[in-house]
Amino acid sequence: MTTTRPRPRREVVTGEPRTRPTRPAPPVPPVPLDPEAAGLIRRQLSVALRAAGALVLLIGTLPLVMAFVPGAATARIGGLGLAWLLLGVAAYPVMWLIGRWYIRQVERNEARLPMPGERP
Amino acid sequence: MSHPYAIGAVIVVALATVLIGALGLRISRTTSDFYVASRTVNARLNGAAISGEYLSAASFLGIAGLILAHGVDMLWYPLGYTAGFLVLLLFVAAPLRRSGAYTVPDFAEARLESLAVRRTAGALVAGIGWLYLLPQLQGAGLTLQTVTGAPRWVGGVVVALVVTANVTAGGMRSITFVQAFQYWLKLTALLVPLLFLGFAWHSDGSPGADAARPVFHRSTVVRTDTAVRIAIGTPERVTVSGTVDGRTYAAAPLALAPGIHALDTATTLDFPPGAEVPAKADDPTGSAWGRPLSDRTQPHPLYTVYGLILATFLGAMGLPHVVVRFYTSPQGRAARRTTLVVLGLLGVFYLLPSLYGALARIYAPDLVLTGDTDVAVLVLPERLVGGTGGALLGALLAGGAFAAFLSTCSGLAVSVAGVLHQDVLPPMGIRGFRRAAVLAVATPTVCTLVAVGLPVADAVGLAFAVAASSLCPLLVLGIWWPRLTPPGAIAGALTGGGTALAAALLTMADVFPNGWPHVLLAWPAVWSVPLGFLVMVAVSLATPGRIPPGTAVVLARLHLPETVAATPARGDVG
Repeated sequence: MTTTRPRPRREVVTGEPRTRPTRPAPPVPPVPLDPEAAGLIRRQLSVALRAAGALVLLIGTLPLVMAFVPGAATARIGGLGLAWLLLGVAAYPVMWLIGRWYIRQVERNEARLPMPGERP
Repeated sequence: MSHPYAIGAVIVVALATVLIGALGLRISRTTSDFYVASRTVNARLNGAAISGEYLSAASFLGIAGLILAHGVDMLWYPLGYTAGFLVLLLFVAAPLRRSGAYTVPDFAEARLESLAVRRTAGALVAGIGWLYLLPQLQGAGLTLQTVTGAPRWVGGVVVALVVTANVTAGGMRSITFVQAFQYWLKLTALLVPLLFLGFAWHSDGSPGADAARPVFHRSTVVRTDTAVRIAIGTPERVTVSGTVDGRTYAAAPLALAPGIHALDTATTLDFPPGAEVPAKADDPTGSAWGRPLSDRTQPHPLYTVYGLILATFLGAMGLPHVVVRFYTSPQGRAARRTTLVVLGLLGVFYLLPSLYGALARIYAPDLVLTGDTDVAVLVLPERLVGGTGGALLGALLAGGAFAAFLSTCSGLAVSVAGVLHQDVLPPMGIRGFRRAAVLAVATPTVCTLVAVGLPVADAVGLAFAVAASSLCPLLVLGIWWPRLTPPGAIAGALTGGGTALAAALLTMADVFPNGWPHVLLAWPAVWSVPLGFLVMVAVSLATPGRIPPGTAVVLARLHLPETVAATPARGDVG
């Protein structure tokens, strides 16, 4: 009754086995991108760029504001420096909200795609 | 200052790490176990794991030290470390997961069908990993020296040994749970002492952090490691052991007149409470500490801040131990949600180091004088709370710092070892991986024994700059631009990463000590990131015949949701 099962062999998992060399590139011209995929890539890139624009505009410009808007560097709110509040506290929820907005937009774009069976 | 509690905490953390590593070996025994476990990790657990691995010594100790020394501009470090994950979310997270790649070299090969690109990416990953490991080991040495008085090289060697033992035993990495636990451990280790420190600060009359010149709130002993010149503003009476202005004293009282005084190595000055903290003669930060872009030790503050922003915003996606973790998300959508969790967790954690920095400005400003600002977090409990309570809180912080070293180093060591194992060393199965792990940790360990003391967060900044100039263009253009070619990818990654790395090495060697050349080299990202992108695009456009034939199929698989892509994506890719 007592069947000794062989101990499972240990493996190192860091990716695909690298024994075979990559085949030489065949001289075929590149396949054009499926128009549906191309459209999705364009829409997703536009969402990503808008979110990145928000990051640059809301946070990336702060050093310029501090350097060139008179009074911004020395302004205080409730006894604390404005720069401390913006960089140390306020920037984090702003970034999180940009991230959440981005996820909603790209998931909406993905949901609009036809499922495999519905393709013409 | 030797504290048995702190030594105990460090030993407990090191032992727990080894133990959990050994247990992990029992639990995750086979390849399929590993795969199954890794693919069903939910977003919240995985997010905590990524944060736990990401929050390194630079975050735990370095940021507070930098804020103490240089003021509000240093808040860009934690902000940038976090923003890097937002950029990663926007441009990389879901497509990278859908590519099925486990590392950046895997991604490069899958996308560009070229072994040469894979090798280039592998070399960059190893270089960045080593550059990032260096300050971790250095920080470990500093921490252990502070809590035990051991020579500075000991801490780095201890961490290197624990990590190597752990990685070669196969533990740690495979267990998401452990890394997730590390996040909560680090958060607790900073938060709990901070509550006590805040209480002590409040009962002290809530002194402000940006007084014109900070004042010692308690009797404080300043000990110099190297010869320094200090500037005294008002007359002070101190007790001196050592050499001041060429005269030697043995625990003798001395009246310091306003002006510049030269202190020799190993001189101790005992300042009474209420004495004004002396400034370093050659970098007066003084009253402008709390104001942005006012740090006079940095000649071109606006440029350096943007150098920091570019490096950290774009560099996080290229860090080897970060990319690996995305593989454990079940699919692209989960990878996005995981990143959002990371953004939240990092945001919570990074509220704390700046408070430590401000408290250190009030209670430990002498660290600026001796240059040991990286230990600011560790000495605060002793200064503010004191007694057994202070020692216990200090022990918690020392344990947390060691957890930070061990988790980040383990992640990096596994990633670098994976690359060495697959692409550099001859194939030898599991023994080869163990050998690669030893090599991955030994190289930076030897460097720390040789290299001079680089501030922890600064060296991390250089690793980010190299990643931002090489792997960021490769990932972003690879994911979004169909005309990328293998020659373009190699040329761009080598030009951007190579110039940034050269700049880092020249900065470490201190070839240009000041002026614009120094600033341009110390903050290379401003020019090296655009350079990397430009060369990659230009060379790709010049070699249109080399566009990989499978580009369209791969791009569709990267961007279409798994449910939609299921049919066409499995076609002819590789």
